[in-house]
Amino acid sequence: MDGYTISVLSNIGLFAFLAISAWILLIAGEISFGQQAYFAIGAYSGGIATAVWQWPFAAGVVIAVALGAAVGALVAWPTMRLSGLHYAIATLAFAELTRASLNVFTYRRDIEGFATGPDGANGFGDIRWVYEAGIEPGAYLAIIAGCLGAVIGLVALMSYGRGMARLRIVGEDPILAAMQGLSVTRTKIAAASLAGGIAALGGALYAHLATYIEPAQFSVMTGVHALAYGLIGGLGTVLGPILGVLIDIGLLESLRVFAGYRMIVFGGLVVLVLIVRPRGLLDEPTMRRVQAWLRR
Amino acid sequence: MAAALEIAGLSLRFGGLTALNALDLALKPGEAIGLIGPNGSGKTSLFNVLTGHHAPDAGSVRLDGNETAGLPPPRIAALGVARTFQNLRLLRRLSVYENLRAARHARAPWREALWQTPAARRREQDAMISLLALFGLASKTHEMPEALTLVEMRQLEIARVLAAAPKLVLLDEPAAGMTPAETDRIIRAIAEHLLPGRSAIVIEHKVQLVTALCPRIAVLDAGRKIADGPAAAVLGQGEVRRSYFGAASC
Repeated sequence: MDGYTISVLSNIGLFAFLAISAWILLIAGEISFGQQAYFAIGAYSGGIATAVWQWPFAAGVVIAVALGAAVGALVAWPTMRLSGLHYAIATLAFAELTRASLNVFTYRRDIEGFATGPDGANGFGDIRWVYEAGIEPGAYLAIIAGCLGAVIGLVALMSYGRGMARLRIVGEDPILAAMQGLSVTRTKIAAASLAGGIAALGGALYAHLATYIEPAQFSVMTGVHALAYGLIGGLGTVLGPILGVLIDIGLLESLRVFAGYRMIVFGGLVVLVLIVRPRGLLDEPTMRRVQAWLRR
Repeated sequence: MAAALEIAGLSLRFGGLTALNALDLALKPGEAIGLIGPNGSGKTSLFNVLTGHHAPDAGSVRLDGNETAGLPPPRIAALGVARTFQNLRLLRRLSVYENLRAARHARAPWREALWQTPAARRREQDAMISLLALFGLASKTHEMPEALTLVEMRQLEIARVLAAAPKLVLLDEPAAGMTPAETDRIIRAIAEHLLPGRSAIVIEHKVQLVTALCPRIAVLDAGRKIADGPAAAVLGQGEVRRSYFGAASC
């Protein structure tokens, strides 16, 4: 694979984490415009762990996921009382609050003669683990693919067990869910925590690939894209949001056919899909047909 | 014998509207009571309070001695209350099987959200499919609810109540919109599978269904209980006939 292909595939992989994160909340019946905040939290905490504290990469990723999941649960605790538009606005406000906080967040230490760490709006450079460990881009792509595989595997386990069914029941009819004995609040907090952890995992991987991160990268547009991927790709399967990323980054951005017009084409595509297939290309009926076909 | 369900002084108000007005009602274990009354008399509101969807403004509800008034719906469901809905409440994005299984998630341990052993999953599948078979729905296991007829949808709701293994069953117009033949099927399904060993409250306008299932009938009017007793006696009372069928039919 040439360097360009590797970089496009890495990008697709990283955005897939964010897209799956937003997708999980869509399944649980909530629209979040704020998953980029957890991507940022993962990027900053993972970067601080390896670059400033000089922890091993794996420990940096673990701390990022743990922090993303913890903040996800903490933010969900008050906001799950909201629903629909109100929840969407609350998540947006939280994400902007996170970005504004990172703009003034400075935490620098002297590492081998260089001041290293986040420096407010100037960003956070020198997250150099990939170079220090001598990881080639192809190998790093394999790490991204492995982590993404783990997330897909987790969702597959939840689909086999009761997790995804719980999320879908609470997402479709919270009143019925409660009468079936399911705690809507707890289920939604669990979903938000899971979504936060997955986005933070993507963020930590992103920071180590980019080596430089700054608050402006985690803007509202990033979150809107993440949400749109699930809506385009479909809510019937975890492969839906990944399909959404493939369409946007794999086709529109990489093929350069729509160079300069990508955002217009993408925006139009979102509108079109939402009108024709409100629950995306791989929606529930489609997946039902696939499953029926597989059972034969 | 102690009452399975004891409702005392139950009141529910929505602003100036009194949906339930100091209602008293007691059910013996295993007893099925028919609840009738004109539209807006508070029948469904009573179900909404009994399942925790609405918190009452006053009064108490005791289920096997446990106070449930004001508890959140999941806690009440865990104590063994399950209901059907007048307008059908099926999950239309989930299969018939998953609709039925919805009643089982709450009592399963949290770890099964992530990991259900293949053996446990098979056991559950067998149990759910034999439950569907009771209602002749086994062949529809993997269909979406929209592929079912109205009777089948009602039967799926009843099967879902059964899957929750409740102590108290609340049926809200289980034969609404059905032909007499379909009503017969529903009556049989309820009598054979749902009522044995359980207490039940059945809201229904169809006298055919109420008298077939419930030896006892209570009548609500404007949130108050205006009659309560053996079915034949209650249906013959003048006040009941006036409030229920209107003054003209007296």
